[in-house]
Formats: sequence, structure tokens, C-alpha cells
Amino acid sequence: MNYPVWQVAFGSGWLIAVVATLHVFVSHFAIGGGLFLVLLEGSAHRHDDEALRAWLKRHSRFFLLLTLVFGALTGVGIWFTIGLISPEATGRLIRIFVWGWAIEWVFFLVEILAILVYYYAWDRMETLTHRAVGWTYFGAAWASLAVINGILAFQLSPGAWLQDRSLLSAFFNPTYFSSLAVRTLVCLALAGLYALASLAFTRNGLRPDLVKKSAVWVAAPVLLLPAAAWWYLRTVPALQKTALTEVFYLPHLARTVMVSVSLLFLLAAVAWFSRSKWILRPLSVLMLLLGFAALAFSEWTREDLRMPFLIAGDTYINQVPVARLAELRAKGILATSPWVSAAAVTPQNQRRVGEELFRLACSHCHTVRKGLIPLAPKMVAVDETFAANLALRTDQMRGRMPPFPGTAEEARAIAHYLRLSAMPVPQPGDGASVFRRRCGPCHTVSGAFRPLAKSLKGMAESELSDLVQNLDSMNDKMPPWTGTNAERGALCAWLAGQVKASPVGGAP
Amino acid sequence: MTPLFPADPLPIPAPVWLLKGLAWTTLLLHFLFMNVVLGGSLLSLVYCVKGKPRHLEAALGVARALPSVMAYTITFGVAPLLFLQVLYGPVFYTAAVLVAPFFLAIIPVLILAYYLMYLLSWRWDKLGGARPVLFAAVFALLGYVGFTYANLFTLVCDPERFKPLYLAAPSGAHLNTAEVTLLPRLLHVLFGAVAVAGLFVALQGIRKLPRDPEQGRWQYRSGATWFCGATVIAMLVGVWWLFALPPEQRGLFLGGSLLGTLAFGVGVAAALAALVHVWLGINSNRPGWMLWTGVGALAVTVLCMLLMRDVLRDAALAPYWRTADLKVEPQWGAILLFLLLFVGGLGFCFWLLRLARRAFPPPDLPPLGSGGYRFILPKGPGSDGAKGP
Ligand code: HEC
Ligand code: HEC
Repeated sequence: MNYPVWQVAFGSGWLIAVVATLHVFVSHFAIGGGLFLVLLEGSAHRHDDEALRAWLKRHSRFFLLLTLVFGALTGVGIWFTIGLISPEATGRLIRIFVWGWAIEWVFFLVEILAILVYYYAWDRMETLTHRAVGWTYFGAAWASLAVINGILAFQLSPGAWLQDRSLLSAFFNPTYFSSLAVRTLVCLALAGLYALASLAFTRNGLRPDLVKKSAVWVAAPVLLLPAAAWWYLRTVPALQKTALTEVFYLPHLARTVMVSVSLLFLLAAVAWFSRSKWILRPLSVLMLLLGFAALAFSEWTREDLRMPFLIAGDTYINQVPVARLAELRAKGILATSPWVSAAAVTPQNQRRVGEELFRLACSHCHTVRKGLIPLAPKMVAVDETFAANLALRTDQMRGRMPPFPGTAEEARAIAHYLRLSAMPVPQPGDGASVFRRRCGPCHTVSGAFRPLAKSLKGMAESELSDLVQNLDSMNDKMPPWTGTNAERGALCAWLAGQVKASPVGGAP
Repeated sequence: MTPLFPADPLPIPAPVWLLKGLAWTTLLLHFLFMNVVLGGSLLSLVYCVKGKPRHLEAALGVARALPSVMAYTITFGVAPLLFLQVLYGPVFYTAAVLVAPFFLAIIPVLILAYYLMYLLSWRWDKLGGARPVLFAAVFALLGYVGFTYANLFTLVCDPERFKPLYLAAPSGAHLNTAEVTLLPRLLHVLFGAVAVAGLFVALQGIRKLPRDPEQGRWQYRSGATWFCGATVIAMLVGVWWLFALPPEQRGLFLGGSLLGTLAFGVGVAAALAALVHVWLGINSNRPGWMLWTGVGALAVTVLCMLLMRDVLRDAALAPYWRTADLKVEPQWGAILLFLLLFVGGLGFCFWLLRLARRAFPPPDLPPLGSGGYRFILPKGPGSDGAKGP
């Protein structure tokens, strides 16, 4: 709560996602593509293959334009974006890793000069020297990946740093090597993907041998990727890995990645056999799209594994340092943040303050009405007390949310504001809907997330009714029942039926 | 009331002087490169409009160089921003949030400008009448970037206004156009950029002397004249800027702060020295030498300006944020590694530059020496060598 939160239309999450994915897709190519160029230049030299050299020269022009301009600037763009959206975490990362970034910058300096010299001096140097320049480029580019990878991996798995605060533990954290392996393979595969497209769209005739080579550049790393991904998942801390079962769409996302990667392999095999530009053109575009999708979804998965943190175990996504949570919950946001207009909630300022608090505590993942996970429609569907109780218990609900970083009055102000931001619509009174509104945020009947069927098995409807009436006395994590009696009746009738029908509940 | 920028419990991993030193060094290079791209696009626009072959030749020289200079403008811009975030993190991030959409728009704007530069550089022959339009577009886009940064960094010095601005519009659609020093600041930078670009054109002229004395000589004179004219105007605007500052801040450069006063004095002196050298160079028999000392003096000026900027900022921020109060726990191991790699990296850069020089050798005509005299001196009445831009 040390920083103002920038309010972005439709939520800030999409902004980071767009900038980061575009950058990753180009910057990984910038590394693999460099290796591709020098290796093939060597082959052209050995076989005295002028045509290949000519193509490489053209390819390197495209490479330069894409990586030096778009790749480099979107990299700066990510940095601008995270600074705006997550200043607290960015500031902390920079304080820990400024020398990491400084070292990456040195590599970047060399990388840029090397690629410029490499491109401009194609026909003006001996092949050996020219290739040495190319190797310098690739070495520097990969080294900068090896540095930045440490910082990215740290966010997911800070490991021993949480205790010892040593830079070495922070950098060589549990997922460092496994994610470096994954990223390196991605670099290589992308080099092949871009090369195929570049071959397919060149004005000269198609060179089947080059197509084959490029197809192998795609297929070989893609073949190794599952093993690397498995290693990576093994190194992800157990706590973060629970997301895979808790977040309902993550398994689908992971499956989509696997399917796209397998398809890529198959299509690479098809490309290997293609002799015609008219096949290779749509094929290479399709493969680029698939590669993009696989990359975007796996980055998304990685981000979700990290939730609700920006630096796991250290800083929450809503800019609350874990170390300050207790203080914030005791004193409240209003008393500790300069970025609000009042020091306490009053009936008069409740709505305005509620808006400010929502922005500070929730707007990183939620919008009010439109965009990413809008909250007003959900809040207006229940009474204000229940809504406030939900806001206070964000860490108990689905969605891997950070704990609410304020007081009960502040949670109520948020609920109040949100409920005033949507038109109330009559809510259906059937049991299933009541469950979705009043239990659904924290339970499923027999799903993966905190299922009820097992503990409710064998209960009569009247017993259930008693239980629901006294939820808050069962444990303090549950809000008291504040619905109507009619809702309770419908809920219990429906729940009893569901529990009976579910495999766990139905068995005697 | 709660402090605007609560101290962060995490220490900063290097002594303040080291971070500042690195920030200044890299920022100096950034400013020099930036001036070439910003001023260069404007100067080339003027040349293209004038349209004589020698004008176009000079503009082409700038166009060829723009993309690579841009690459280094960006690289040397990233580094000081990094160190700045360590030193002034909370103040900087907060101010950035206040201008967020404008700040973020810098990225697409730069990408566009950069591609236009490549277009100019690689498709010069096919562009014809589109050249001035493209130069104007590049200049406008880069101007936007400079304008936004000027807004951001003047805002940084004024934390008093952060909270009301934020609460008025959390979507960050603020610029700092109410700031009275903004206009002189922008104009000062603009004329400074034209001056540096003039110098750049003159340097390219020197390089052309052996192969094409006519063009080289003309380019030298034209570039140097632009340099001198723009420098004089920039100095006058600088005086305006100085007097637009609130008295207590102006006082910093007139005795209030040792570093500020020194930087001011040396900066002005170095600017005058650069002016005189480049001016004398026009009719000197050693123009190259005169020009390079001019460049050296100019670099000193820019360094001084940058220090003044720093003094100003620290003074304005003193009630809110003092770098001296930062908790410091240097990561000496990492610092050493950085320095080693930095030296190694510079080694690689020198190697690459040497390769590049060898790949693009200057035409092998007799070295300039006193021969330059012949090319540079006006050939007496009737010659066209004496004409300015
Ligand atoms: C990590 C990002 C994140 C933050 C921060 C966050 N939420 Fe959530 N929230 C989610 C996700 C994800 C869901 C689940 C959406 C789903 O599964 O349907 C969710 C769901 C909810 C729901 C349940 C909606 C429903 O009925 O299914 C409520 C209520 C809610 N959030 C309130 C809040 C409040 C109040 C705050 C601020 C104090 C907050 N959230 C902060 C990510 C976040
Ligand atoms: C704000 C989140 C939240 C809401 C809403 C909520 N619960 Fe719970 N509930 C919990 C938590 C957390 C636990 C587990 C506490 C523990 O394990 O210590 C729990 C435990 C239970 C249990 C105990 C059995 C078990 O499996 O641990 C029952 C029964 C239960 N809830 C029923 C309900 C019903 C019925 C509703 C809807 C009327 C409901 N809860 C609404 C959070 C919630």
C-alpha cells in the first residue's frame, strides 16, 4: 500500500500479459536465431554454398529488424509496465538484483554492437572473423537470458533467500536451472520456426535441404521439451504447485500447451517433406501461431502458479509485502497508506473510500463492472454483510487471492462501493444458485476445491439447516449465514440431494 | 499523516556514490546519442527541405547513422533508469503512475520512430519526396518522448502534488504542463540537440574530406555553423530556465551548493570553449583536431548540466527523500563481478569496433595534416566554399 495503484481500463492484468508475451516470443528468437545464423553460415562456408550465404544475409536483415527494434523495445516495455503496475515488487526486485540487471546490460551492450557489425559486415570480412562476431552475439544473448532467467525464476521460487537473504540463493533458486533448460529449448525451436517462415516467404526458389534443416531445428528441441517441462514442474515449490488442482482452468491450459507442442512436432515432420512454397507458407504461419499459443499459455501458467504472489512468500500481487500484512490488518489501509482521501471510514465517505480501497487492494486482478473478473455483479447478488464478509476472507476463496490487507470496516466499505456499482437484479432462488452465491466462493460439492460431500454425507435436511444457520460457530473462517430462510430451505434441500447423489456422499 | 514514501526495509546493494557515478556516466552517453537522433532528424529535415545535392548528401549521412545511434541511445538510456530506480525508486514509480499512459506510450512511439529510421536508412533512394515527411515524423515521435520525459522528471521534483493529482485521476492522465520551467527546459534540450547534431554533421564532413573535399568542406562549415548558432540560442534559453526556477533552487547554482555552482561554472565555460573551438575550426588547418576538442568540451558541458540536474533534484526532494538516508548493504561480490564483466564487455566492444573499422576503411588518401588547410580555407573570392548552411 506504499504506492498508488494505476487504474487501467479492463484491468491491468491483460496489459502485462500482452507486452510480456510479445516480448518473450521475439526475445527467445533473438537468441536461438543467432545460433542458427552462425551454424548455417559455417555450413555455407564448408560447402562453398553461395546461395545459402545469400539467404542467410537476407534472413539476418529480418532478424535484425525484428530483434533489435521490436525485441529490445518490448523488453524495455515490460520493465516500464511492471514498474507502473507493481512498483512495490519491482522496487524490491531491483534492490535485490540491480547488479544482475547491470550485468545483463553489459551483455546487452555487446550483443547490440555484435549484431550490428555482423549484419553490416556480411561481405566485408573473412568468414572466420564474421562467424566469430556471430558467436559473440549468440554468447552475449544467451548470457543475458541466463541472467534474466534468475530473476524470473526467483519470483516463483525464492527458495532459501526467504531466510538467508543471500544473493546467491536468490539467483540460483530452485527453478533456476530447470527453467533455463526450458527457455533454451524454446529459443532453439523458435529459431527453426522463424527460419521456416523466412524460407517460405523468400522470393527465390525453395531450398528443400534448408527446409529440412529448419524443420529439424523445430522438431528436436520440441521433442526434448516435455522432459524439460517435467523437470521444471518437479522443481516448482509444492505450495505453488497446488494451483494446478485449485485453479479449475489450469489443467486445461496445461493440456493446451501439450497439444500445441505435439502438433508442432507433427507439423515440423510435415514441413520436412514439403517441396512447395504453397504448402510451406500456410504451414509455417500455422506453426508460428501454434508456437505463440504454446508460449503464451505456458507463461500464463507460470504466472498463475505464482499467485497470489509477485515474489512468492515475499510480496503479494496487490503490492502488500508479506512482512507488513499483520500491521495492515491491525491498523488498516487507511491509516497506513498515503494514497487515500480519508483516514477512517465514515457513513458519509464509505462509497468514495470503498472505491479507493478497492483500487489499492483488489484492482490488480478484478475490475468493477467490465473486464477481468468483475466483482460488482457478484457482490450485488448477496446482502452487504455477506459481501463484506467475503471481501474480508479473500484468502479462503477460490482464485488464490492474497489475504485481505485491511480491517473489517474497510472490507465493508469495499463491499458497499461494489454493491452500489451494479444494478441489482432479482436472483434466482433455487438451491443450486443459492449454493453458488453463498457457499460456492469457498466450496464445491464434490469437486477439487474444498469439497463438502464427504463431511455432509448422511446428514438429514434439518440437520443441514441447523449447520448452515450456525456456520460461523463451526469455524471462524466461515461467515455467518445472512441469507433469508427461503434461501436456506432451498439450499439445504438441494444440497442434501447433491450429497446423496455424489459418489462419496451416496455410499452408506 | 503517513509519510509519502515510507523507507523500505530492504537495503540498497551498493554505495550511493557508485550508483550515482554509473548513472551519470551512462546518462552522459545517453544524452549525447539522444541529441544526435533528436537534433539529427530535425537538421536533416531542414536539409531535405533545402534540397540541393549537398544538403541531401548531408541528410543521407545522418539517415544512415540514425538506426545504430538509436540502438545506443536506448541502451544507454536503460542503464541510468535502472540506477535511478535503486536510488529514487518510490519517488520515480509514483510520479510514473501519475503520467502512466503517456509514459507507456513511449514504447510504441519509439518502435515506430526506430522503424522509420531504418526505412530512411535502407530505402533512401526510393523515398524521394517522402524523406522530409519521414524525418519530420521521426522528429515528432522523438519529440513526444522527450516531452513526456520532461514532464515526468519535473513532476518527480514536486512530490507535494502527487497525492491530489492521483486522487483526482488514478488513471494517470496527467502531464506536468503547468510547470513553469517545462518550456525553457524543453527548448534548451531542443537547441542543445540541434547543436550536437550540427557537430555530428561536421564530423561526418571531416571524414568525407579526403574522398570528396567539396562536400566535406561544405558539411563541416554547415554543421559547425549550426552548432554555433544553436549553442548560443541554447545558452540564452538556459538563462531563461535559470530565472524560471524558484529563487531557492536558482541559488543552488549561484553559490548555494558547491557541486551545483561548480557544475554551472565549468559547464558554461566548457560550452564557450566548445563554441570557440568549433568556430575557429571552420578556418583552421586542423579542423579535425579542433572539432574533436569541441566534442570533448561539449561532453564536459553535458556532464555538468547533468550534475546540475542532479543537484536540483536532490534539493527539491530533500524534505521527502534523501539518498543519503538509504540503508546500504553493498553486494561487493556482485559489484566486482559486474566490474570485471564490464571491463571484459568493453574489451569485446573495442574488438568489434576495430573489426568494423577494418571492414569499412576510410578511403586511403594522404592523411589530413596540413593538407586539410587546402580543403578548408575558402578558395578566395568566387569560390563557393564560404557559404553557410
Ligand atoms: C490474485 C489476484 C486477486 C486479487 C488481488 C483479488 N482477487 Fe478476488 N478473485 C480472484 C480470482 C482469480 C477469483 C476467482 C474467479 C473464479 O474462479 O471464478 C476471485 C474471486 C473473488 C470473489 C468470488 C467471486 C465468486 O463469487 O466466485 C470475490 C468476492 C472476490 N474475488 C473478492 C476480492 C476482493 C474483495 C479483493 C480485494 C480485497 C480481491 N478479490 C482481490 C483473484 C484476485
Ligand atoms: C468465505 C469462505 C467460506 C464460505 C462462503 C463458506 N465456507 Fe464452509 N468452510 C470454509 C473454510 C475455510 C472451511 C474449512 C475450515 C477448516 O478446515 O479449518 C469450511 C468448512 C466447512 C464445513 C466443514 C467441513 C469440512 O469439510 O471442513 C462445512 C460443512 C462447510 N464449510 C459448509 C459450508 C456451507 C454449507 C456454506 C454455504 C452456506 C459455506 N460453508 C460457506 C469457508 C467458507
